[in-house]
Amino acid sequence: MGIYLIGYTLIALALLFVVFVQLVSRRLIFKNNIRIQQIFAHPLLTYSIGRIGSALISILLAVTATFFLIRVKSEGFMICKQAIGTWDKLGESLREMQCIALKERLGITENWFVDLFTYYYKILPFPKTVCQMTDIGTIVGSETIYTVSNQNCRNFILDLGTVFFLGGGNNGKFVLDLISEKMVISFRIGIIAVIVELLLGYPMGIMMAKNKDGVFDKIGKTYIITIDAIPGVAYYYIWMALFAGIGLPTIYQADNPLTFLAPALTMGFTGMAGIALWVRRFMLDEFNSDYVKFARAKGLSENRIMYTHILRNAIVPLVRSIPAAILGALLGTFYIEKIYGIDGIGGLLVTSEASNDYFVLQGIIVVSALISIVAYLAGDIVTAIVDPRISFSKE
Amino acid sequence: MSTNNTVKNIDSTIYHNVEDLFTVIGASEENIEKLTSAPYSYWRETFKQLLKKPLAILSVAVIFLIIFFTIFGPMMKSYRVISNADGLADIFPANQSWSADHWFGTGGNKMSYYKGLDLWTVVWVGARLSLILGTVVALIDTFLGILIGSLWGYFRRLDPIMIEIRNFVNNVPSLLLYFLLMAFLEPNFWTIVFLLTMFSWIGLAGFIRNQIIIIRNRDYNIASITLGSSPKAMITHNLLPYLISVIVTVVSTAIPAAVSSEVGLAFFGLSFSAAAGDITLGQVLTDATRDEWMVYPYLLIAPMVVLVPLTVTFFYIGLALADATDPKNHR
Repeated sequence: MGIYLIGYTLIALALLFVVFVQLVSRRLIFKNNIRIQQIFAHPLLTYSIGRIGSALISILLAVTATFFLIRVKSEGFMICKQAIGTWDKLGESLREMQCIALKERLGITENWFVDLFTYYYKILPFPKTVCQMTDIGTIVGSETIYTVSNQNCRNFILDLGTVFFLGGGNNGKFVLDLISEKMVISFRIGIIAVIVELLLGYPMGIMMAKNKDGVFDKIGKTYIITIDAIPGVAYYYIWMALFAGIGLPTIYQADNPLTFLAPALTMGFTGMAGIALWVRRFMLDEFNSDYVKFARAKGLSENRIMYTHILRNAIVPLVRSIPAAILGALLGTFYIEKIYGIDGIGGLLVTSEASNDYFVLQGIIVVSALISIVAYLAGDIVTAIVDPRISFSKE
Repeated sequence: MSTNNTVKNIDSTIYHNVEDLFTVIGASEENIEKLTSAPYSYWRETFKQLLKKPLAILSVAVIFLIIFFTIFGPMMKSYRVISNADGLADIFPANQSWSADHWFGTGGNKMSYYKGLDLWTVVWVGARLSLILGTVVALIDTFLGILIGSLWGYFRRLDPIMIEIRNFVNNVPSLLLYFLLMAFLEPNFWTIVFLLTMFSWIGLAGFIRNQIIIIRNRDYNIASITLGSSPKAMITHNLLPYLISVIVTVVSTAIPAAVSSEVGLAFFGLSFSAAAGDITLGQVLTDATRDEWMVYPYLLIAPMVVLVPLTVTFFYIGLALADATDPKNHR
């Protein structure tokens, strides 16, 4: 019971906090207390709350739309046919009975809206105990006897259901467990890629801006155009061929970190182009601004101007994407995971779609929507920290 | 003393050599009414700018070459690669490398559909469909993007709805939606066009919207609104002409983007079915990657040889057009 108490208290506190902030920022209470106004009506705070609010609406929309699509796709007996091994041998009435039993076990009813609201309830962020129902009804004569045993109960804040059809030893797991398990796999490779692209992309962009229209700039531009233009699949394979050529292992093995290199570098070298492009563009934009001319007039060295003045300003619009890149590493890349045979989130999406596993699919959508929203928010906050001019107020 | 001397020198230069500096050409009554420089034409100037870049000319040449081969390439070798009511495809021994008979070799043993087919013909037939698909998708995308984007930028009340749609597209993995939609749709030309346009127009619309917001409150637009211009006139006369360079760029980069997206769809088996006679570059590439391309690299090289120049040149033309169509760079 303890976790419930803590959870509900936290949620109540959070809600109270939001209401309080709203009231303060609208100047309905504590009108004259400057201290409280400064802290609770801080633009960053009210902005974040507004952003989270609209983000929750986005998640609900995404969940609703995909819920109906998935439902329409696997309507009728399709799901039962897939799940019940002896389907072809069963008679019409037995089929129907088994199907009803199965659907009950899955928590699927005939009424889509009931299911939809059940799912909303499940993903509402407050603590709930979830029990897996492990036994299916057994048929004795003409009657079906359900022996539903509530084993394996766990406390969840976000309940994404249970894996049913995925196979490969994953059936019966909690979806949240499965997703976090796969996320670790995707993240190990993704984070190397992010480090590579940041470590190479920024210097490349700076170098290109430094000798604009020089040889290095031309080479860099050609690389960026090529990466932008040709299809991802095509250049992933070009990289793979190159890596195979220099002897890097190109088949992923979970226990051999050397095999992480090829996919991570493929991802990193791709992301690097985008970063370099924007670093170059933003730095060139700053080149002719007054403060740079002033710094030159003061007699500062070109390097000093480059790194402490221009880069400091050019970096402001760029840091926004860093949290998104790091969090995006959790979700992996579908193409690279398929090409190198990595069983991360991308692979999970493909297999769960193929095996019609509702809850896994919906779970991936919820998690990826959450991640993208957190990433946007983190990006805004990082930008506000880096740039003192930004205040997020409504002018 | 020396300064005085210098001043005198300058004085003498100015006052005594004035006649040397100018030549009198006389006045002509006729020429007063004539313009000596050619009148400014936007498109002529644009092409002038474009032709200054040798790489742009090369790109145009490559594009024409590719279009030429998509039409006449399959005719150069009279092999059939599609089985239909008229007859069966010509099957040759698989895994033959480049030769005089098969310029790109023949399909590998493990390729699902292209096994033993002449890859030269396959690739050009595929490039034809890819290019048509890319152009159609790019045109629809641009049309929707401009229409919705300009409305979105002009009427700010649309913001909540449109931003919600954009969030939806950003939040949900598009691959998943492709999978779900393809469960209902038969893979034919228009369904693939539908899939490819479904998510790409919003990006263009957002781009146009940002551009319109940037220029919407310029003085000339405020003056126009004050004088009572209707929204339609505002968008078509004041805003869109200003955006012409953006739009031209968007169209030409949308074509390689659509070709690339098709390759992505094909990689997950969501594109056309080759067995039904629809070959695209995406399918040929995907099928080659499933074969032992490390042993027989020509399997992968064949589609790449067309795909890479096709997308890169279109993309480069887009960038070059962006510079050339910008009136700030003219003259």
